[in-house]
Amino acid sequence: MKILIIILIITSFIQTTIFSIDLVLLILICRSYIKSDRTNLYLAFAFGIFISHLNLASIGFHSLIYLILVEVTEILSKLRLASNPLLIVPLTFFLFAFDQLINSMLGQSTFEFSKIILSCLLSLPILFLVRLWEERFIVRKGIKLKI
Amino acid sequence: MSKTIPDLKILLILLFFSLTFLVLDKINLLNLPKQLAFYITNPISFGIYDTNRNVGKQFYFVFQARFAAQENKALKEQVGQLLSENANLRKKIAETEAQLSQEKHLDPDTYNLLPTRLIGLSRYLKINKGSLSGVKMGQAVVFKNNFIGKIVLVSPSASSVELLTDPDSKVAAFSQNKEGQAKGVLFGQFGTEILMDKILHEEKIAQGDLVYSEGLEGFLPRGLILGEVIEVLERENEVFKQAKVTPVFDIRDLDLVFVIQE
Repeated sequence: MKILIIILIITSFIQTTIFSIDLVLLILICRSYIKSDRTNLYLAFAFGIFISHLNLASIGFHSLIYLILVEVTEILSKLRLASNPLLIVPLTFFLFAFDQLINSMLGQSTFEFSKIILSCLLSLPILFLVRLWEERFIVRKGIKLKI
Repeated sequence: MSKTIPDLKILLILLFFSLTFLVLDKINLLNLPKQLAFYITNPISFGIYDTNRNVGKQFYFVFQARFAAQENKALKEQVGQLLSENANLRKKIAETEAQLSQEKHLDPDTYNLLPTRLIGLSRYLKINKGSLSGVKMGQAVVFKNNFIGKIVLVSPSASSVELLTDPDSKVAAFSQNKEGQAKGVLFGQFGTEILMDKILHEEKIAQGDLVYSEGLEGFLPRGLILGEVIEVLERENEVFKQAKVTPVFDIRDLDLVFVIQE
């Protein structure tokens, strides 16, 4: 968890200074898709506030969006279709489109379709990286100890 | 409902807190903690931004250097091409000037002159035009109103010229001075000298006289300068006088000569 928090802090700074893609939201969506856990909501709330602070937006604004999007992802991850990792791509598309739409409607940023496409492209590698990290302690069936 | 939506209670609490923060921020009650947080986050944000900018500059510099190197290479090639073009143009100007100068001495309506460059000198003088340009054996080679020699060997793109100094060279000639003319035959000698032989004793010839072509050979126009008399050899017991003749210029100083074509 500590490492995840550190990674999220670093990505928060990166997305507010260099890279304008919402990487924090992308990581949170990917984690929620893999692992349904209340920690996701805590992280969404905390990093929503942090991102609002770094973006000079109203504190709490990003938290509201992050919480809703993470909860939607958790609900959708329980579907039978969710076993297919490729589903993350259209899911990211719709969630980021919603995020962009809300942001543009409330005047926080302009609607940029290219950001949504880029986020969709990044979603699959990030999903696999998060899955690799989260499932690092799960022993695979094929591995047996030789005595 | 709680089964459909996981952690609904926590979600609602967190949404409530978010809204509370939003309202508090709107009424500026969070200014102090925000300012305190900025003391920590601003230097980090600036550090990341500055590092990114510096790294970007370095990449930009590398890109620019690479671009400049490519541009420099292209410009060097261009300069090389221009220098070559310039040299060719100068060569053509020199050729045109030489041809104009030549036409003053030999009428282009009478003589068909082919400009050629000198490409070598051993026994024969080598020129860069051959049978492809219409050069034929026995044609005369001139420079202004001076006779250089005659074509003795022809290849498709080069020819050899037999000079007056060649031992096989034999040309009918006459010298001219105020007192009169002296007729004779020019024989090439080994070296740079030419011997004018078969001059009658009563004919007037002196040192410094110019020797001209007689034009009896057919290929050679009359009146071309062949050389200058440097010494007259006169012996009482011999039938003919002789004179040593030397060319009026050094053949190695020439760049362009002309072949008189039919």
